[in-house]
Amino acid sequence: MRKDGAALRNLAILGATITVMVIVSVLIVRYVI
Amino acid sequence: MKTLCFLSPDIGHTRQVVEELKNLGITEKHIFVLAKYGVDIDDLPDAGPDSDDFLPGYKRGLELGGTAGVLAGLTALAFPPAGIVVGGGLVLLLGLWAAGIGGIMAGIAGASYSNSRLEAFEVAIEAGQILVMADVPKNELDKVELAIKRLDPHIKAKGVKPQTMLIP
Repeated sequence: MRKDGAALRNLAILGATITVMVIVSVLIVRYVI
Repeated sequence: MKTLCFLSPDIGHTRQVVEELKNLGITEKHIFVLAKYGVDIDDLPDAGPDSDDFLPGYKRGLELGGTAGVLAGLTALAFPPAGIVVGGGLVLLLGLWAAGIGGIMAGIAGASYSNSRLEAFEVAIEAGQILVMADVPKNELDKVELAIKRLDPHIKAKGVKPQTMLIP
């Protein structure tokens, strides 16, 4: 049960990282480049 | 909250410690038990997120990847490849993507190793001892440590372990 929680947390961190990368990239391309 | 660490010589003592921690008002989700492979600790709380090296690996990947990406971007800025116009935006983009990909890769790789922040206990765990960690409110640290020490002299209190920071 707790191991599932740890795996879910890891997945959430990976998902959040990719989302932030995409959003910030779009903002950089839109406003900086 | 601080994480108190105790080393227990065997499974019987570990059960005693976990019971005592529960009696002191610490809930099971704040108690973590880590033993070497093959020791039956199914009825005790497991090590949860502390059992693997995902977060420390992720943090290292973010730092190293981000640094490498920004350096690569600055190098491209200083020596632009023929025919390509390099601006500050590229440095930002390279830094961001290198940090992100570095973090993801190092995190996934770290998930298959045991936690590097618990290296200090590795020898003891390999020797058959069992590590018990408990998240305790700061103002109750001394009380809990004393209670466990009083419980059994064979149980060694190993002090406070630093918390993992989610965002480094």
